[in-house]
Amino acid sequence: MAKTLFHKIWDSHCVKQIGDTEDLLYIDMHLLHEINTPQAFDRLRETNRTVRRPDLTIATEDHNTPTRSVATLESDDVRRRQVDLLRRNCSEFDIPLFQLGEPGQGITHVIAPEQGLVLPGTTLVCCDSHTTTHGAFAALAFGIGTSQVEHVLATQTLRFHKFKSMRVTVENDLPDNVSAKDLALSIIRHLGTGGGIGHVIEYAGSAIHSLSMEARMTLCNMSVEAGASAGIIGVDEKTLDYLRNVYQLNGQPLAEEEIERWRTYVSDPDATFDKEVVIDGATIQENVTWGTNPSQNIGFHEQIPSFTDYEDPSQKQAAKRALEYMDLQPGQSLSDISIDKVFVGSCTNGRIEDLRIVADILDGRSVHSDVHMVIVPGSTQVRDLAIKEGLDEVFQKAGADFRHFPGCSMCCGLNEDSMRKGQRSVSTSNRNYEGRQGTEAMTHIASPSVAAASAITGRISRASDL
Amino acid sequence: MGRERIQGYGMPLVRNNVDTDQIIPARFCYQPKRIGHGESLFGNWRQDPSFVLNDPRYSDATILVAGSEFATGSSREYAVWAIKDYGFQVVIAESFGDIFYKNAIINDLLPLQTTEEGIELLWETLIHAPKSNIQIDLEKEVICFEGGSVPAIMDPHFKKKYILNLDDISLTLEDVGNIDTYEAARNPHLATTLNRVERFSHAGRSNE
Repeated sequence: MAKTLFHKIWDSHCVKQIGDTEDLLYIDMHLLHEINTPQAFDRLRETNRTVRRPDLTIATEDHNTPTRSVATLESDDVRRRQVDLLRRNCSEFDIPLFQLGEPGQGITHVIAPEQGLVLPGTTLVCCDSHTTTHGAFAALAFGIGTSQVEHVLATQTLRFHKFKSMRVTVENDLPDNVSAKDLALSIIRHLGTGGGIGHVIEYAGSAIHSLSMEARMTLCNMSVEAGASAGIIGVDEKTLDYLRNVYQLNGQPLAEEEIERWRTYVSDPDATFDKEVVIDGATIQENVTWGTNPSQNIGFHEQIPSFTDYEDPSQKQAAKRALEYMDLQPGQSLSDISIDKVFVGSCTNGRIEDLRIVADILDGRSVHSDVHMVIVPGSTQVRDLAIKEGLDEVFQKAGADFRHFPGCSMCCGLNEDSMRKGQRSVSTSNRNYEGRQGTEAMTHIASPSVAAASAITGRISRASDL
Repeated sequence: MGRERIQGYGMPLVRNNVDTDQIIPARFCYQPKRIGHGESLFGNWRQDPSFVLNDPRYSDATILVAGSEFATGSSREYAVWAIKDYGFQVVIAESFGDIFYKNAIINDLLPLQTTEEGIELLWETLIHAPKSNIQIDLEKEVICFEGGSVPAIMDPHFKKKYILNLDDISLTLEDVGNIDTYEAARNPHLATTLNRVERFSHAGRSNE
């Protein structure tokens, strides 16, 4: 019987069927970070259980870590305690850990692919909702809670409710300057923040296969913002080229049979999905959020909506509240909106390709005097490559604040980089929720090129406006 | 009364799309414990004296009635812990974020779905009569209160898990033989994290 990619991986990882709606799946890779894990280790100790497969588990410090200097962590008791607990737990249970300041450290979803830990046809979980990122490699990757972390640590399996399948097909290439981030925002606007609930979304079509692996990670990363449990893309030559390169960089041998096996991780041509959505890639434009959830976004040809534009009462209510929070007036253009901060980074857009796009726009220009632009690399590997390519000098000359230590930083507002009350940012991260980047701070989610152009003009702008 | 029947007072959270960053903002997620998060529930919103959590008429509520797409967003289990610590045993919503739903079941917080009309009716009832007694019957799949009854929707598998209060890890460990068998046949070429940190730091040094 014809199978979707998601069902192929599911079936090959089913350790046991439990009832009609739940299966026990084997987990090939488990990523950990400092915020959502201490309670899981405590419970392991309380129940006299241990970590079944430390060799399939890896940890990094990313959510609360400082980006200017390691010393800042030492002076902050709360954050240092979280990091210390992770270090102690990893040491006690023999789990490899990338510590702040060491080569290899970075955001979980940036470091795992670059280290070859994400392979086609595998399952991966992490205590972070943006684990959907890894679907770019035809892996089935889910964000999980702390109790599920404990389950995976103890058993290397997880009990999963059966998800529905959805295929989002994007034909025709995206226009120039339009990125995977813009596509993701369009898809989320189309589906709504809950449209993907209970689903695994497979992205297909010619526009998807034209995207680089970095761009595919950005797209899959944002799947959760449409409510989806996972996003996934079938293997093609770009996937294989990326993995060959990673294996080579890591000095790992790669058998030809493995590559041939990876090629099979695509949906069968006549596989059927529970839901199908078709989008014309050529119609996608650059998008920016105006509201307080990622579905509340518009293109530059549109104006800030009025809540009366919405027929659905729940959307109407959400829009009214969002306009108030964001201090915006209906009819305003994006280019009317002045900003205080620009953040480039996060698991969505903190990769080398994103930094290159930003450097390209900043080159020979200056960040607006009213704007503080923070650029945080997603990993030490991204940082070192950026320095090697001279991007750091471009950032410095333009007046941007390029940070040395990788981490989530301003995306989740857990380190010292949160915004103050009333400040407004353009951010390449993934969530514009109320208070996400700081209490009563306002966030506009956008692509790296919009972020860079906005940093120069001090207003929300496109590169083509410069 | 068995676990299939629950009753209590409700609190109307008349908002859709409440993400887990609102349920417990990230800066409150610093205590490395499963308990003690009740004070952080809706940490930003409760600064507003008019927020429903500050309304003394609902101070005895054990059932939170939210709108659609409740608790989407971040995977933080702190969201469930904060709701439970505050004193809620049940959250009724039109729909839930996937990760939150699983977290709730595991932590014995009952996530119960009902229809859009059901939510509207519950909200209206609770706004006008804060001390309405809400009775949930999981067997009959109904939520009853003065002024009406609405469906109680729950996947049968999760319902059974909730009623029997089953512990996932203990159940899975009963199947450890299946896990052993699976592992024995697993592809040896798959990635491991062994020596990963050492190899990376070695590679890092050699580039300097």
